[in-house]
Amino acid sequence: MTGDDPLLRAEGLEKRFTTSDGLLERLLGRGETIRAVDGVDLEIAEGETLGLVGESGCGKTTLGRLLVGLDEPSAGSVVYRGRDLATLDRRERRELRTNVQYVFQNPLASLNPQLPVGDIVGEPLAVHDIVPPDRRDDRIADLLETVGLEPSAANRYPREFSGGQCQRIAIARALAVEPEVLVCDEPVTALDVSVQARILNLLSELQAEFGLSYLFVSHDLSVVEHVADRIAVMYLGRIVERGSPTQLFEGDSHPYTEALLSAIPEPDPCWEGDRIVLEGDVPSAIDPPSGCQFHTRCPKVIPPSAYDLECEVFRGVMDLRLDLADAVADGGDPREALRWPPAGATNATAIDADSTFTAGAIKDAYGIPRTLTDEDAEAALTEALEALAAGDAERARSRLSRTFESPCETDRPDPQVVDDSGDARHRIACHRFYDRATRE
Amino acid sequence: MNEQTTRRGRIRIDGLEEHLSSDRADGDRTDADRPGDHRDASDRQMAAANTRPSATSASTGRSTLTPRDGTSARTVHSRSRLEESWRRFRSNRTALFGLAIVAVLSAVAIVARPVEFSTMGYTITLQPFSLAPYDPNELSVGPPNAGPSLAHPFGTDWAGRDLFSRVLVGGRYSLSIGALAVALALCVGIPLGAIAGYVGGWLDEAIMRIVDMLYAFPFLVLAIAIVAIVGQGYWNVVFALVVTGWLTYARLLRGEVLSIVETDYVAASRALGTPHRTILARHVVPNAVAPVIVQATLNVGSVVTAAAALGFLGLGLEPGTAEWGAMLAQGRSALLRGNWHVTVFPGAAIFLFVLAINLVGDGLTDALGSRDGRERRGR
Repeated sequence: MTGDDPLLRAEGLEKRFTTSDGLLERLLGRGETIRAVDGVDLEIAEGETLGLVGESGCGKTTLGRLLVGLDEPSAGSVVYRGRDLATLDRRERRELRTNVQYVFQNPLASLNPQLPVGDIVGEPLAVHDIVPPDRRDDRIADLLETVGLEPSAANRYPREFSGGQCQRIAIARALAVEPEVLVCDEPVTALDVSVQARILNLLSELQAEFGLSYLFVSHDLSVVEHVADRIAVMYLGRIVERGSPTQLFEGDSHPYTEALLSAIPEPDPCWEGDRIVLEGDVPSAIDPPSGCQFHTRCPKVIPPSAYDLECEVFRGVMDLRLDLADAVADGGDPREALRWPPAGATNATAIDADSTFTAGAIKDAYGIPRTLTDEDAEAALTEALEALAAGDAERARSRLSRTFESPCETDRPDPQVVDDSGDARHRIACHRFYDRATRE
Repeated sequence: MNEQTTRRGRIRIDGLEEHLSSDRADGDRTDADRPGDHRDASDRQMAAANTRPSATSASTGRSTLTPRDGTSARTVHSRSRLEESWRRFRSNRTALFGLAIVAVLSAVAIVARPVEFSTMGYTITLQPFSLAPYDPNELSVGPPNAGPSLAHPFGTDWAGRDLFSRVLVGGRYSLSIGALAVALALCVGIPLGAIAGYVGGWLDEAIMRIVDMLYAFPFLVLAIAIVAIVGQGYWNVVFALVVTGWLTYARLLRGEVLSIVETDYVAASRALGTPHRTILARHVVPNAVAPVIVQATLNVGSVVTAAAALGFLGLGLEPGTAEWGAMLAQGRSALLRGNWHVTVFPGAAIFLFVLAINLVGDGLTDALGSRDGRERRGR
């Protein structure tokens, strides 16, 4: 499959939104830039299902809209069957873009409430003159039957249908232009679980019948695992890992994927699972973290090579560093940005904040052992923390960032092929795997 | 590729289909979210119960209650939004009352005098009835300034013209100015508002700044200024009222369009490659226009008042025309002399019409489910 020319390919796709609003702000050039999609390469081969997963707000929907052509990319290109869509004129592009269709998350909202179903499904037939006017009604009936609805549904209005039925209507409309790729943006998220299964079955039937390719966007890994031939994991506008479900679920994977996987519940009352809980919020896409964007939350962040530190210990130091950087940026009392007083403080005096704001107590709050195994690191950390306890947050920050600089925050990791043996190429964008790939 | 297709077969949920078909005694369909499922049937039952048991609803009710029957399912006819709105409007008595008044006033205005159309020496009579007993412009059909009597139910004015005839015929001017001015203002406001909201960018800025500029003048002052420039006359009054009237519709529609453009069905239409013109006409405007319709209905009343105000100020039609506002203006001096009937009847006619229009507008607000028509009545 990887040898074939892909049906739809995205190259270095970027989409930036600006928050500036109104004429005045536009003229002044104010406002911040949000990098919703930040350099994505992607290809979808004929007849395959590519699953796209990630947290809310990571740019999945924007990526889908770019591929369909609902939004114009800020940089990069969408190539369909070897033709770059940006180089075509408007009419050609519109013609070509009907080959990629979109299925929305909220089925009812994607249907015009004023029009009967027949008009909704028949609209593309009329617009592109696919079927002569006298045979359109038959074609509409065909399409409705293809998605498992009665032909009589054509006379009724969207609000008379349930969510699953509306999604079927939306799929029928997308099929009317005989597309080759369907971008399904969380197509079953708004539906009941039992209806979800039916819509998924319908999608797979349609794939077998018409040889469709899907980009299946979802935040639900368990759904994607069932549907997809390949999965791409997205974090803050970038794809951090891609591979077949087997490779992702059973082999080594990106720390972010591991965290996602650990969150899939098992239908077992005794299931406890070893969930990896990610600390902190998703960073803002306005000012995304440098290097590997996941380094602010990654439980497996790589310690600087100069020191001999455990991963968990270094995670604590990183958290402390990041909080401290926020504190200096905000300007106020550094303790407000830090984890202070410690959330799980065991000893009662620790809660009495002022007198106990010492180097040792701060270490406890961040789960850092009182004495680090590496002597140089210990010395640097103690020096910084004493400065902090003495009230000099800026000195503490600069000392810490000078000493504890992880490769994860300086270099942007490129996707590395870690496994080329299966039916798909397993690529991970993480320095852990980068190290291994270069070493081998 | 084949191998993948079979592997993809995993997403079939084993046993689901069998489970569902065993749930249903008839077992004819395994797909519960197809038409005619439980939810649907019960919804329709409720809908049928809600409608009054008239002959038509009883028959449709029967056919919708048996949607599983293949032949009758084909004839299922569902109500469009418009029908639904009309049903709601009909159940509102005050609105119906208002509509009846508007209808009666319009009918009376039409049949007040014969409508004739002369061309090339031939006269074609379009409407032969003549409800008004006298020609409204004929002088001295009775004694001047006479009070109401059997011969002249509304009395006569200073020139001895029959006021009853004048009020009836005056409806032609007032009502047609109201309807025409609003219709033409809609023809300007809807396209401009829709384009401003849909296209956005500098075009939006340009159109909306023009609207803001014209909005800065009080409505009537602007209308007076325009009539002062272009002069008196029927079409000039209509023109002045259109220039001042389209602003509201453009602004209102633009706001609605901005929210409709963000909806998924517009995005879906764009993805299907539908041209912008079609999207605008088929999806955006029909979904955005309801508050504008409500506003326009209410505006018919205020436009009639404005036309009367212009007539009262002597800026409307030529003096002496049987127009309600102009009649009021002429009655000013009569009022001082104690001849109340000269002003009361044209004034009552204006009052009645504006009241009726407002009742209809309120009814439409409820019927179309327009959220903000009621609040926007101020202007």
